Amino acid sequence: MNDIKTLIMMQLKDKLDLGFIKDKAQLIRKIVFFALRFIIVASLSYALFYVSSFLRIFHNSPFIPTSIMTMLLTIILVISTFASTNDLIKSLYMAEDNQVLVTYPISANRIFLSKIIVFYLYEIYKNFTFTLPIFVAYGLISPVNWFFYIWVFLSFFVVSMIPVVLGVVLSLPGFFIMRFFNRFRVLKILFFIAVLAGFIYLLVRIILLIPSEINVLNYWGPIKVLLSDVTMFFQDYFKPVYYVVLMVVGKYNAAMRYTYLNLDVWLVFISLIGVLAGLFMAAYFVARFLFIKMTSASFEYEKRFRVKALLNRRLPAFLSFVVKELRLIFRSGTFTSNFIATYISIPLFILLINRIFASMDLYPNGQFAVQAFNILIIMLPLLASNSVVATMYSREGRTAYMKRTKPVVVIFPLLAKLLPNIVLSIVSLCVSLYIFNAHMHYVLSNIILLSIALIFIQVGHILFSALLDLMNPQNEQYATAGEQVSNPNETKATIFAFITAFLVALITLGFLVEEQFMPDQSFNYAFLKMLLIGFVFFGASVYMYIEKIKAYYYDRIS
Amino acid sequence: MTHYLSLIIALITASAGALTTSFLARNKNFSLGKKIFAFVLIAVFFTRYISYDDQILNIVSLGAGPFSPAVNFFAYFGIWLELTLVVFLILYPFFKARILTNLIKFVLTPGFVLYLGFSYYSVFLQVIGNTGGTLALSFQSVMFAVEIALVAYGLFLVWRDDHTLKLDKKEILALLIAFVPVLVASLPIYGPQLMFGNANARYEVIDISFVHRLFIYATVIIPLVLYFSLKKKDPELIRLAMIYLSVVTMITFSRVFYYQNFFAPWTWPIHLCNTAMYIIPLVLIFKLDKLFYFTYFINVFGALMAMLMPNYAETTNLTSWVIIQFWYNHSLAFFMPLLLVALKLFPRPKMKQMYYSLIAFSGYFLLVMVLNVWFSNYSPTDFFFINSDFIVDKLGRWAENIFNIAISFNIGDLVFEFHPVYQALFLIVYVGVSFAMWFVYSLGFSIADSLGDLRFRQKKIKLDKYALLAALNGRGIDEPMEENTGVKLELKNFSKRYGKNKDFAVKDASLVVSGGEIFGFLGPNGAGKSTTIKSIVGIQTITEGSISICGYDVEKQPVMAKRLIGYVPDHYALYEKLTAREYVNYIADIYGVTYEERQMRIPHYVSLFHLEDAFDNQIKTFSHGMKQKVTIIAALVHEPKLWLLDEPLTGLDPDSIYQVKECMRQHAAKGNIVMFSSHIIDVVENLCQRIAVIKKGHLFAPLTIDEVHEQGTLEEYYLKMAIHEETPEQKATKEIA
Repeated sequence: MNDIKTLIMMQLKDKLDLGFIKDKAQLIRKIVFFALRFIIVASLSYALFYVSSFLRIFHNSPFIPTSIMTMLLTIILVISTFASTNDLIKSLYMAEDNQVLVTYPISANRIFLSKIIVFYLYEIYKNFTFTLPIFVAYGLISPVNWFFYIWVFLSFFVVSMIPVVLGVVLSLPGFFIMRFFNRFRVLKILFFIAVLAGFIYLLVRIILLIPSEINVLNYWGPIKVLLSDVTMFFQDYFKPVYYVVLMVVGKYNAAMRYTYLNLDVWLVFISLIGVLAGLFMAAYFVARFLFIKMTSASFEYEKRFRVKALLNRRLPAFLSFVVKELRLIFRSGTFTSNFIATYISIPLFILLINRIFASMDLYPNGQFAVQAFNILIIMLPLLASNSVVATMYSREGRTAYMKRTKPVVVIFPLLAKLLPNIVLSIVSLCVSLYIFNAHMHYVLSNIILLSIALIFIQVGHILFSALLDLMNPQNEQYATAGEQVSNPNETKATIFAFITAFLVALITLGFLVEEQFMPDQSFNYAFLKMLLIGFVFFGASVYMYIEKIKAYYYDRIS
Repeated sequence: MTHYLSLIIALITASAGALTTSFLARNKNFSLGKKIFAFVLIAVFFTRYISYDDQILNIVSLGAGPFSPAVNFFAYFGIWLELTLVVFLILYPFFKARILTNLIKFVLTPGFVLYLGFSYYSVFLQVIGNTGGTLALSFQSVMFAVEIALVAYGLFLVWRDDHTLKLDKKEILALLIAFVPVLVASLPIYGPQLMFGNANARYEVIDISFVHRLFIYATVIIPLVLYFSLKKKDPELIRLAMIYLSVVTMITFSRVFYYQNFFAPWTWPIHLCNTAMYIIPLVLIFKLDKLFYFTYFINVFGALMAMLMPNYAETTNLTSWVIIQFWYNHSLAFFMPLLLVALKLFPRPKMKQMYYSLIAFSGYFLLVMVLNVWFSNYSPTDFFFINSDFIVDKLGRWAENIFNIAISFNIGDLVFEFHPVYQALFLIVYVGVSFAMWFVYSLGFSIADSLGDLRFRQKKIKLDKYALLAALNGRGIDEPMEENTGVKLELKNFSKRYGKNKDFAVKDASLVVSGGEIFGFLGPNGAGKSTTIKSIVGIQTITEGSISICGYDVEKQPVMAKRLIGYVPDHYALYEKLTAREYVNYIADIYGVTYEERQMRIPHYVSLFHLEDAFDNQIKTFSHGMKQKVTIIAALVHEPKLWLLDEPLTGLDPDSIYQVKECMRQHAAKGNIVMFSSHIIDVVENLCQRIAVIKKGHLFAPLTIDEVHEQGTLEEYYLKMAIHEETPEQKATKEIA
């Protein structure tokens, strides 16, 4: 068993960075942060449960029904299972460390097992920081007995097995699907676009279903029925999860208390362990053969040489930089996920919140608050996504140094790298503001002023983030550790993004509130002032970007 | 009449003093005497200043005074100028600044004459005002007369030191620039209400209204203006300016206090921000570092909060002395500590100083907590707002609930009531915020440093550009610095040091390689080969010396120099997601290679290195050797004059090694330079015409292969130089030892 333990520790150190264990101060800090995180999640959950209990949202009494927990656990388990499957495919069959691990005097079966255990431990860690505090909060608001607080911890060792075992099972077909798509890239792209388009279409349809007038008090009856239907849907159609919830919190008895003195609870427990064990054994015996096959496969990328030679092409230098960047980003997954997560979701969010707010009757100051909130919803993810920009130059690793040897003014290739992000984020911003104005009805000139102001801020922040990377390059780290770099520039860019987004929203709110007392109520000055602020920020960012590159670029060695 | 009589006596006294001084100090500079005079003036001025309750504070416009508006105006203006003059005369013996003397001579002396002319009215406005009555001989009027005598004598001392009436243009300009801020700083707090009235249209200077924001903007803009106008001045002049500003504002701020306040301690200026008005002049005059950091860490935040939430009534008029005094106080308390550090009058603080400040603050907090409850028995007292619901009112009911938790007890007839939870929380929050201030300050310092460094480098870049233009001597910027050099690589006393490292990676290397040569660069690992090559190609900067290619300076004309270089790095650095063709074309685009040229060269090299079948695939699918070949093609696609290769043969198969060597020969045969570093001695021996060995950053003189062979094989020579031969530094160290 010692060899498995060693393997597990080795992999855990890599996955969770366990360096803190040997340092007492760091260990205490980690424990304190872990406890804090636990308390924060539990407190927030408790607050939400309390509000819903107080307002009788889900039940006619203060009671929070088990169906709510079923819904929450279903969502969490589905997400965890998807994540586990994806990670397990990479970790089991495509990981580069397999090549090293198989050279150790340990059987491949044990390596395989160790990898799954590592995943299981990681899942426990995740559940203890997120799912468990929610259940503890549920226990605090519900009529549970003392045994709940012991049992909930123990039961989560079992609950954490679910996504891992399902992940191991699903990783087999997942691997073959992934390989199929890798072989037929066009199909992969088409599939991806189809899923994305379908998802967006579905989302827009759902958002448009929101009634044009929401009066919560008048329609409370139907709304409550709807909420109950939704939660009961989960309880009825995800019965296994419902039973898992029963196993964790116990069953509601005639005395209005949860109790574990019930056969159902223990039957579920035993059945769950049995089913998981069965599933795991089945998956283990099938998947380990694939694992052994993959560890002995060559890790060089499959060479499928194109025989027909293409033509050489000549482009102007700057265009060549841009084309190169476009090729690089569209051939990498990081950009695609960032693109979807941010640039597409922002307009959808804006549509959603404006549909909701449009159907509410608000005071003037409430209207301004909604508009400021819109700006926050647009700017927050947009600016936060620029944290990727703070790693862009460094991600090139040592290749970036070659830029210095080229006979060009270095600002051009550096700027070209930012261009796709700049262009796409501006498009996303403009679409979002178009949706915003479809609900707010400002005159065209004002919305143009606001758009330019926000574009200035967005581009300014992109340049600022890029500069962080240039001034504190991490090329060597990326060259040696690949993507696994804890990049301080990313953190700084994110913090600055949050501050900037909140400030912009706050300033917008201030200007709009102030302007309502103007005689003509045109809000021209408010938007002009926004433009001025945006311009100053943009100007400062451009100046610093150009001047710092001139002054430092050739001096910064990672 | 009595007043003018006093005035004549005062002037006669001053003249007598002046004559005596002139006689006694005929051949001495009389510096001690002048300093004693300054202290006497301080004593007299402050005695006079606190000897009456200034009635001018109650006059709300020029028309509302006891005299005609014109007389009221000149009388008021005289008071303003005389106050400025007194502070200048006090500072005069301690600072040797031309601007100080000139201001006294050319601005404040005429001002004093004006004051004398209207002195009766000035004194009347201050002592009697609108209360009714006449100006009779009193302690106050005597003190005024004594002060006037001293000021007149002080002016004599200044004119005696320098009685010329000539000013050059620069001095006139300086006077004109300094005149306005000097007078603005000493503006009496009642000035605006007297000049512009106090009962007209109301502008609320509260709740972040437009006017309130203007005041806040001014608090930010004024220190910036001061900083940029003073930062390059002499440190003593900066100190003088800051002392003047702090002293004169302390005096105007204190106008509302007079001797009776001594007997009513609940009216003392013990509010945290009020203390700054006295602390700042003290720390500046006596250079009290520890006290300074108290105001730096504690007052700044307090003042900022006070400026955001002023405690005057919202009906208070914009011009009212209440508002002027409040903003004098809080803006100074806010920006002066920051400005003093920015102007380097005090060094940046260390963590330790923050801790001391917090301890002192806790002491202050406890003191005012006790004073508040004690003095409240006599009059409502609320120093630092910890004894009233002023702050909790702004925070809401929850805060009021906390405030309402009170402990009360009696000592004799005195009642002591504390709000322990509120007061403890107040202290904790304030201390917490002070920690946050530390991070804000650190951020500020780092931004300031970074901007300072940027400015320094911008200047250097500018100077380099001027040097280049001078070297080009009227020729175009694209012309080589050295004319008619032909194909040549030249290192002149090149040295490279990394960052702040003390040791040089390469020291004082000189080398010339000419067209047609294949030059080998040998040396053990870490000797400086790659450093030299990276500096030639522009990856790294040059610390000392210069490198030129065909006459183009690599540092000053980088773009032109790099056009002539083809570089193969020691480890391939490629965009792996591009195909080899995309990559090579991308590089060709950068070098501006024509379509025809690339159609000729690319197929040639692709065929030479047997890459036909792979060239249109992504580079990530290539083996190590294939990647190296792509790098070589990319380096040759523009036919460089200088082809530099850093250990190029590593990982190549024998056939490819042969092809690379052939390429080198052919490239050199065209009159170009081929320079490469390698550890494979045989290849270097067979291929190169000349070689150089580098060891621990020292470049030994290059030799031809024939010269090497006179001493044995290249391997023997290399071992001798790289292992046994000592560098100049090693020899020097040995000699010292």
